[in-house]
Amino acid sequence: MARRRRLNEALSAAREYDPYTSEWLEQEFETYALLREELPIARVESRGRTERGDTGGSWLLTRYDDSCAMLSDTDTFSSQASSYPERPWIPQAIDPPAHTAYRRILNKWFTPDAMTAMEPHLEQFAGELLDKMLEKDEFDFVADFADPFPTVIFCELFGFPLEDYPQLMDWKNTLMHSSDGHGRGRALALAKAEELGIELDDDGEIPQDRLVEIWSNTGAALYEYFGKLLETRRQAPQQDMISWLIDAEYEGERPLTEEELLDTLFLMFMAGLDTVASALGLIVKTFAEQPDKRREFVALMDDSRRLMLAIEELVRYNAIVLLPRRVTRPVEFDGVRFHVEDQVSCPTMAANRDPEQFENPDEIIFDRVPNRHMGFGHGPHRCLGLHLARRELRIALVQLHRRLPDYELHPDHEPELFGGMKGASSLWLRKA
Amino acid sequence: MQVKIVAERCQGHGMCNMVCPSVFKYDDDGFGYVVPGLEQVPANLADDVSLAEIQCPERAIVIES
Ligand code: HEM
Ligand code: SF4
Repeated sequence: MARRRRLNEALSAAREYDPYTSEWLEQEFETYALLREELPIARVESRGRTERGDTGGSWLLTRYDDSCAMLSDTDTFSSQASSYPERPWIPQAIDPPAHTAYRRILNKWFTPDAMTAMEPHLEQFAGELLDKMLEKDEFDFVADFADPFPTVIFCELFGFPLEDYPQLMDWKNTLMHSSDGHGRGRALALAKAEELGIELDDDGEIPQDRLVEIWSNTGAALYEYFGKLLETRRQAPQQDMISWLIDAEYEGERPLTEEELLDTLFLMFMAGLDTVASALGLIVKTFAEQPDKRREFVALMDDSRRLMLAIEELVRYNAIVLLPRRVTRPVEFDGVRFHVEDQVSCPTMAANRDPEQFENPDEIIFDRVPNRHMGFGHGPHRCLGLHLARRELRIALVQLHRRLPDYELHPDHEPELFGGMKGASSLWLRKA
Repeated sequence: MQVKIVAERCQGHGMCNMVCPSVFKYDDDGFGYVVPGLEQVPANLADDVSLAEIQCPERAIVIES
């Protein structure tokens, strides 16, 4: 009976699955655990599919092994939208072999050595931001550090003018966080709705089917901005990735087209601007809530080898990305039949808590080995920026805890979390 | 201890280089390789090479003892 009940609960959870809200985060790990036990390949309802006019079913994978198998089989589980080859995000929404060709261009700018060369600058900039933040006894860690630190570094790397940073953040927040619980993103989307004359529904929300208008309007502004930047760099090349991209050759045969350049810049913007900020916010929130783990981290952080493993464990524990793929051919996956055009999603936060792969998955174990976590994805699309991300996380966390080993959540300000590609949009702390 | 990287499995994400940079380097495209001459792993690097093998997300590193 109890067993039957669990299964029914799992079926309900699958039907109600909606990871794109902040409420979802209150029971996400319990729900993923329930699904993993009862329905590891679950048929789910998925918001967003109908908006985009996609057909086919939606599936959710919560087991680590299934997720690995899916992400490795790019022939069956495609990253390409059904509209391909029309304007894909490069390299994320492209399958091999074209994906391999694009990655070949990009990989060499993101190697460990290239990123190590940036470390002194990362150290210095992190230090400056933290010193400023810590002049106060209570502060919003996301606003004062987690957001600006990786974003400014990203702008410098790519060559986006630093003074455009507030505008870039606003575009990013409108595109990614208009309806996921992110306060700033929601405010921006509401302002845009008013500008476009979109009427709110009875709950004061932007109707789901009108969000697309807001996104395309914002996307158009961003593309125009990128277009102008490309033009400026063609006139006067600099030592930055925009200039290198302009000079890059696809398979050594031809330069990238204007469309390819724009679609690459757009994807970099979406993948590189928000991720480190989200991970940092969640990690520091974890440390505020688990002071014993924080003390353990502070005690080990001067040992570079242990620190390296600790950073991996923190990325495992605080995975933020959902990875969707599109089925290209009928296939049976562990007894479940997937049809062409079905969408299969594996949340990295679910795979990373699979007890079959990670002993005591809900506990932070800093020297966990092996730790082949999926926080940076798996297979050919594994994160391009991971060597940068790891360094940013390491430097930020070490510098923060050198200056401030003890802190706590501010009693009067709840952390503000958002779902989907999840993270914290506000995290008030105070010195302990 | 003998170590090699199975090229077909390697996805070039450099975990091996991070764990044991003396033995694992990467080529211009980011794919890992064992430094020529170090396929027979010196004893003082054996621990790091084992850790790299365990951590490689694609299980592309093969150790034979
Ligand atoms: C903690 C921070 C980060 C996390 C957790 C993260 C996570 C991920 C994940 C899970 C993927 C796989 C996407 C897929 O399979 O479809 C990915 C891809 C990607 N990431 Fe990251 N990322 C982070 C930081 C960064 C940074 C800083 C950059 C760039 C500056 C970046 C650039 C990219 C790019 C370009 C891709 C697409 C790669 C491809 O499709 O081949 N990421 N990331
Ligand atoms: S860790 Fe594994 S997949 Fe990554 S570069 Fe090294 S051998 Fe290749």
